[in-house]
Amino acid sequence: MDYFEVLSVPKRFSQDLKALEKRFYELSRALHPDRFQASGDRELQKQALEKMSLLNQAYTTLKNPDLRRAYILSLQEGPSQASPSAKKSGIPMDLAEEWFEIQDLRMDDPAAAGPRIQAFTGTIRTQISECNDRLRRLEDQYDQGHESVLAEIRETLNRRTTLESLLKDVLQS
Amino acid sequence: MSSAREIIVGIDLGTTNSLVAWVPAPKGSPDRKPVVLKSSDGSALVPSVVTVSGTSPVVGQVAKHRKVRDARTTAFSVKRLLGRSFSDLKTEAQSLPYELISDASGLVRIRLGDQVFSAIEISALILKELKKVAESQLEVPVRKAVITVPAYFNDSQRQATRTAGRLAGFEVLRILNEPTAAALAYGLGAKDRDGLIAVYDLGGGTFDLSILKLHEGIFEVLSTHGDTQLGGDDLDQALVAWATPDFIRFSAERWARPLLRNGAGQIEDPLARAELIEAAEKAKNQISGLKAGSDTVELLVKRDGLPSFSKKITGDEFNSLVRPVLERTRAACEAAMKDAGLSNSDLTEVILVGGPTRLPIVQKVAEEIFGRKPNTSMHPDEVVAEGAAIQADILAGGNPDLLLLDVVPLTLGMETYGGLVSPFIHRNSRIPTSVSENFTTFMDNQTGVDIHVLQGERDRAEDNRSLARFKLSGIEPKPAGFPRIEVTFLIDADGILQVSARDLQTGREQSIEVKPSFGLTDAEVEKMLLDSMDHAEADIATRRLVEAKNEAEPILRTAEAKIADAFRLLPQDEAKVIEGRMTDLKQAMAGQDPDQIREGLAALNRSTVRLAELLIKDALNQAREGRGKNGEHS
Repeated sequence: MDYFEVLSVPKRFSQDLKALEKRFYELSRALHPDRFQASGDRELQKQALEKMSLLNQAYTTLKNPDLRRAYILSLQEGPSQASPSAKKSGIPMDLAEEWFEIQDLRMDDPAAAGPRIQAFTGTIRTQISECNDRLRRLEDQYDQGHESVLAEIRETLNRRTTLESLLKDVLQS
Repeated sequence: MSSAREIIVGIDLGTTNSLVAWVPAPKGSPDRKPVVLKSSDGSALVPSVVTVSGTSPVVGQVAKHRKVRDARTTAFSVKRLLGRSFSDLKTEAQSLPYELISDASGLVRIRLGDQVFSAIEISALILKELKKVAESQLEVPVRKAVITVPAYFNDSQRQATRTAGRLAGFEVLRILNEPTAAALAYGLGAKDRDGLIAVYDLGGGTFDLSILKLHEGIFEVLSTHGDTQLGGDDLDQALVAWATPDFIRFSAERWARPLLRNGAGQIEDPLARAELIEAAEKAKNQISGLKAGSDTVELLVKRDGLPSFSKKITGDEFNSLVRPVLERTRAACEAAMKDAGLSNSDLTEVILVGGPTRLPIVQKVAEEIFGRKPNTSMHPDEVVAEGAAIQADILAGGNPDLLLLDVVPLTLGMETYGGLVSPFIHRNSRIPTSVSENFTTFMDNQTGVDIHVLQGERDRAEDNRSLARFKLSGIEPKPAGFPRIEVTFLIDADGILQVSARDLQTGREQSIEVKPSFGLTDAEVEKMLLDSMDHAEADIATRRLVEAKNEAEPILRTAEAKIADAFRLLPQDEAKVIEGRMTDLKQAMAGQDPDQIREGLAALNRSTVRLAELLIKDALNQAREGRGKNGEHS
């Protein structure tokens, strides 16, 4: 049973958080081990504990957009690559040259490097926001039944991850 | 006992005071209000103090009165020691009048006179006292309980509390977080209280901050943070530190017996230290009653035959003195709000819990942190016990409308290469929750794997609390990397870790040996339970003896007062029999056999039946004569 099935909500990137919470509360009322304490039935209590653990994990994952996205991707890929953020993030090829030049310039002429760094961070930020727009669009398509866009979503996500880590490097320098 | 249901009580096992409560309404009745049970002296608070200066330990109010006189044999604030090692508590040790020592495994022990106790045993004595309070009020045996702990207690401290409950003879159905309990009491039967609330719980020794969402009977904890070493005790200590230089000077000048300081700057002499702590506590409790900031309270140490030490402090001075201590609550509040993803304006209410929140300065600091006037309408001492009783009611099936959803306060992880921690359950995760990890072997024919479980937020293993070491054993000898063992870490609804393991290839349950780092193994608990049962027999014998003596004493005294009348009114040999039986009873009472005392008492009673009749007649005659003389008629 995947997390969407646990909470009986559609397998989509976009979720109605109010409805999700309502469902979580309903199921909690039915499944929580506290409900079975008075029964004295150990087996029932053990099952309740397991079911409630699963429900908690499902809700925590689906409530958070990043975790939810990673989870949908992992369902397709299998759990071994569940966390895209854990992947080694290199520098995006198209931006690498500029970044190396800036680093050289900073050694030679720190004063001139300032404005270029500023312009460069602007470029990265724009690209990150483009990635976000694209993700939203692709996820909408997936939610409407186009499952084939998953590969593109993953690619875009990876690009955003590398951009974010480059931005961090640039800002720290 | 009534056959209708089994009673489950809710217990607030506090640093300073403990309470027990229950929900008296029968199942199906809509009024599910909890009631705090009172001890025979009419007080709901049982001081969490144990003294062992006599033959058997004394708990509560009586022990509290002996805190100063028997400073070295009286334990208080023991909750701060639960589940902790001796090395954790080096500084603490120097500010307490009783002595802390280390046992062989590094666990802290308390030496009271010539006896040594664990913090668990002392806590069990307090819980036993509460059990007695409940049983004498309800007149039925009470075997099941929900016990509260600070939300920020780690696994060792929770385990220790549960063990104390078991030692006291309870089946502990739930370890419940104190701020969560307070929220239950706050939201009970009041749908209009739905919203986001912060519970600011400053107890005698611990501080918790929990953020909850209340929605149609669901109490969902969004985050919790705290400090298990911050509470009202620290306010007393601030006062003690402030008064110490003058107290030392005074002792040299006026008592001609100068007090010394120990390595931690505390007064060396345990009696003087206890006296000053008590004086500080009393002064602190008067602060809330001051009308103006310039009014004063007095720290007073009285000694027989010596001049009294007195030092005054104004309300304003007190506030500036303790403010730095209270500012330490700010970080926890901010962290909890951040983890819940909320800002101050999202909150609908800030609730204050715990005795020290009566202090205006505490209310002021809470108001500054959250930018709103806190709600002080809850009874700060009783609300946690009430909440525990509500949870007990939920577990008993009495209140199906309510449900508590709580979180684990601290991250759980495993030690990996290089002494680092790999987290597997993050703090503020909803509980119950479980995580499975796969393990294998690194060497050919390896049959065991060691796993070290830690709790805390730091990166390095050594900076976190070591919870337990697990040994997976009985693995079938195979080439390295071949076996597949799945270990499941489960945090139950108590916030306590359970571990199980399975061999994925054979599907067999794998044996696991759990060694708690700062607690007791199951075997040790069993042994202690057996020991306490032995003691229970001794306890019962003692009680029977005391009861027999109490019963015989007034009757013997009456007999002594009337023996002259016996010789006046009865034949001489009959009076002599009474005299003889009085001597027998006196001898029995000097001994240790309750049965002999009861026999002696019965014999004395039999011999005085005629005397009693004659005494009544005699009294009536005298009354009649008296009335005749005065000429009065009814």
